[in-house]
Amino acid sequence: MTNLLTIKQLAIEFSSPTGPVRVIENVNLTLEAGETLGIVGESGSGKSVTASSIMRLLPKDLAEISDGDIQLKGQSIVKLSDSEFRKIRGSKISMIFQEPMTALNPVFKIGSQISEMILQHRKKSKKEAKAEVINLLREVGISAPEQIVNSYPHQLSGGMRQRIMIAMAIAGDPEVLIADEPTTALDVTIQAQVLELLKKIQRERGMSIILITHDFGVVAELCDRVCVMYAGQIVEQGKVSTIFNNPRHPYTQGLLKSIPQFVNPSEELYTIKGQVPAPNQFPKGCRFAPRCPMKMEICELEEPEMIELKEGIACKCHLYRGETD
Amino acid sequence: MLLQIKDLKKHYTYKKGILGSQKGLIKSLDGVTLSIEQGETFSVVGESGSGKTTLSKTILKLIEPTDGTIIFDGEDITHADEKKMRQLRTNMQIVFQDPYGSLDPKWTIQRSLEEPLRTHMKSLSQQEMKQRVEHVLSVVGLNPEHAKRFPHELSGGQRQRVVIARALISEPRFIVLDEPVSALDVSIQAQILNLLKQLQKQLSLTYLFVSHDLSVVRYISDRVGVMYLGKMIEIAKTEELFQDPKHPYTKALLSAIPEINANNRKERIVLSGEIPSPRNPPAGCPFHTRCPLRKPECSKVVPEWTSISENHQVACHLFNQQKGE
Amino acid sequence: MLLYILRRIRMMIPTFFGIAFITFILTRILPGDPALMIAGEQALPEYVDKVRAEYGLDQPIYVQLWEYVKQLASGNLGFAWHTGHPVIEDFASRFPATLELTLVSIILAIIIAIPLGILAAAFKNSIFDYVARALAFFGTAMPIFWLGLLLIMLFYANLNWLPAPSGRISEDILPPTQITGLYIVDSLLSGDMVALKDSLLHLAMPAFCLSLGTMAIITKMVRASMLEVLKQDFIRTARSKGIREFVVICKHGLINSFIPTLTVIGLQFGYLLGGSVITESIFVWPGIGSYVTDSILVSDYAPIQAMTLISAVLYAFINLFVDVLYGVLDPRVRYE
Repeated sequence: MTNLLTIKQLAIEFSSPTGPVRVIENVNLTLEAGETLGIVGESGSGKSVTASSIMRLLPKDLAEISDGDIQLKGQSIVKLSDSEFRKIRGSKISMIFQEPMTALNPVFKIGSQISEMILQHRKKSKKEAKAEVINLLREVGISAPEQIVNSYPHQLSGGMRQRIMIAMAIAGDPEVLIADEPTTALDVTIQAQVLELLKKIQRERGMSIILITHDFGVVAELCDRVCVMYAGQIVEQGKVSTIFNNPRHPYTQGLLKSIPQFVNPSEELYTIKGQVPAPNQFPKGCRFAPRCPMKMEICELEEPEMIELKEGIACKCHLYRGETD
Repeated sequence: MLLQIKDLKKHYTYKKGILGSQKGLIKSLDGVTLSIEQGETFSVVGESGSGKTTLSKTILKLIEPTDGTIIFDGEDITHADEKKMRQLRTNMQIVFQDPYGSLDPKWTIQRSLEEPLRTHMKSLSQQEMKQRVEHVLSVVGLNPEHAKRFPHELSGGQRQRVVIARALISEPRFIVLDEPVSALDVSIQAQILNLLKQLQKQLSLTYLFVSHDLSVVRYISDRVGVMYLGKMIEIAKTEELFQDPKHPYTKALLSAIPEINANNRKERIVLSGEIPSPRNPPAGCPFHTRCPLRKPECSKVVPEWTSISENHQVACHLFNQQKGE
Repeated sequence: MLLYILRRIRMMIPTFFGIAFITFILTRILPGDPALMIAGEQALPEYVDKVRAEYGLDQPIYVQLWEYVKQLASGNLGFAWHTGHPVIEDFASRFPATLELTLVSIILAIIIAIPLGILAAAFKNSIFDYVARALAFFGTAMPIFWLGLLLIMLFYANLNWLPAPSGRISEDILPPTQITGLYIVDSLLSGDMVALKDSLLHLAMPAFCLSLGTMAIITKMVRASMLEVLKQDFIRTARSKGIREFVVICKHGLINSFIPTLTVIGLQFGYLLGGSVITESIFVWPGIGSYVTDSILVSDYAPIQAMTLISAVLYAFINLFVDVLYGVLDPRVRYE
């Protein structure tokens, strides 16, 4: 497989009244063609910021990529000018968001919002674009596309709108789809529909997907590999089945143990003590150390390296020093 | 039996037609019957539009029921006036989903916690109030010094603890928990769920737990009721419901939960379509428009409430017939 | 939609009667005796009584009110004794002046305020933003009479770039052939470039003076609502499509931020049409504002009542128009 998207040593700083705050640091990841990569973490872990930075959707006056590189097929996209980058947005990489209710413009018809994407990136006439919109809507499982193109977002349900967002995202025929919590706002049965749809589209189009979520269940359903983020860093990554069956990092272990799904109702849920630190209070050394049940002396002094372990897992934890594969 | 509800209905009217002269009817709650034992946790699950939140609010008479009876602790409170309800509310409390919205941002925690005492127990002295606040804070795992803080100075999990403390301070016997952990991260959710379980044991509380998250429901409840379009469609003991669901909707709902453990993954039943609009509900069984096992009578006759075993009831024609044969 | 408009108009009628009633009572409470004013300060008491009887002012107030209502119902707005014309005639001759001044002011305000507000929001803390904020500050803080006098001093007295602040057109130039009553439109229609230039020059100061406050309010409104809209998720979606930032702002942002602004523009327009009393007085503009001022000074009831009623009607219709426009711009607003 070839590396489609590579993130190297990414660091992102947000400006604040007290000076710049590094919310993302040392993030390395690769996305291979045709794979689905999950990024999981709790709020404040930096998963959404990482995803938005790929699409250059962070607020310009606040956030800045202060270090590292993002490459699409080996070509750096961080240094592209805005007008060059626009050719990538939507046509090479596109994105869907958490809130289907607010992600569509309330004053334009569905059809024109999707065809805008087609007209922007593909050499098509308005008439061809119109026909293409109908095809796309059919592809995302909308049964009466001729009617839907003429409706406005508020006339549709949340599940419908998320399908429309997906249709819009694939309209430019992208190679990478970033899905930021795409099913969080939806009901369970609708979530199931949307997950099936994403699987189908990926299979048929051979796209790569980056899925941002806090829900391990969704990752297990959809992803090949997963990165676990904590406090602005990736702490563990590898194959989904391997990580979920045998998590190595104490944070991943704790998180999985605190999910009610795994626990017999008569037992207490495992809890990780304390809470996620704010970005301006990230501890020195390992950022998880203050909450870690297996903390050692070195943990608070020295930041652990990302260590390659067996079965293709990498883990940022001092417990595994010297265990390199 | 602490709480008994018989054939509870809440209907809303809205104007329709060109001149607003015709009246439409929305049956948010359409004949729900259930009873909750002292000390048990009864959960209501359902997707948006199922009427689960209307049910919880109607039980506490935050919304006036249209029809039916509510019996709390042997007393019919269906038509209790406001004065009576204020007395009763010391015994019946509610915790909402959003801990940000349910605390006044301009009040200290102390003041927020004292407020129910000021309305329900006017005889308490300043000193006694302070003691009670300190006590209840320690019960939910916070420090007395948290009382001096403002909501924005606390984390999401701490805020939800404060909201629970406020519900507990008047020493109620019955608490409605309306999506109490939905807004929280997994690790914080685990803390709150543990706390709720522990409080129930300590204070012999009775819970009505409303949630869309089925794994949380499975973990916390003794019995579960499934709602769809304002109707209760199945009630059973938790394990019985999760192991052996009867209603086709319950089956689909359970199969839609993303499963982390690949070995436990069941065949998914993906329902077509979405919940119909409550303005225009289907005739007969409310679920027949999406039901994979639909029979001709389902679109005509409302299925009756059938007992499968002592603790398992279902409203579905599949089981009506079995009984008849 | 049509049904909605008709229903709204039906709902307006009782409002208008209420306004007519209140104005009637209020004018009667005003100090000053109209009979004395008509007859003249030096007139003999007998003559004043005669005038009073002639105008029906000696009747009990409910009889006067009844007469007034009857008159209104027959479409008669009354007679202005201080000009010697029926009110409706005065109105017809003066309203075009006010309308022209108001239209030019509001258009001036819109064409400056909307782009400025957008630029200020799109480039927050840039030079555009500072200009917008300064304008918003001066526009709302500067009293019109003072601004008017400054303008006259600078552009007329010192620089002599603009004609004397008196009326709509210089005395030695013939007004254009009356078609709409708006000098700019009429002179364009009849190709009278001399009149066009002169009436534009006459309009410059009063129109700017009148528009500054409105301009400030609209700029503020556009900036604030644009900032709000730019934070919305659908703007992020639009950006993620790879379309140009200009299109993101002007297509996806503008319509959405224009909806709240529309209310303000409607209200301001109605407010200015009701007669910009101060501006018209400073620039001796022969419009409704100065007419009403004169009427109040001489206790001439009929024109005061009529003008209040007319501005109420105009206001109500502008509001209705704005509401209808909402429905056109925002598909979520539907009138049944």
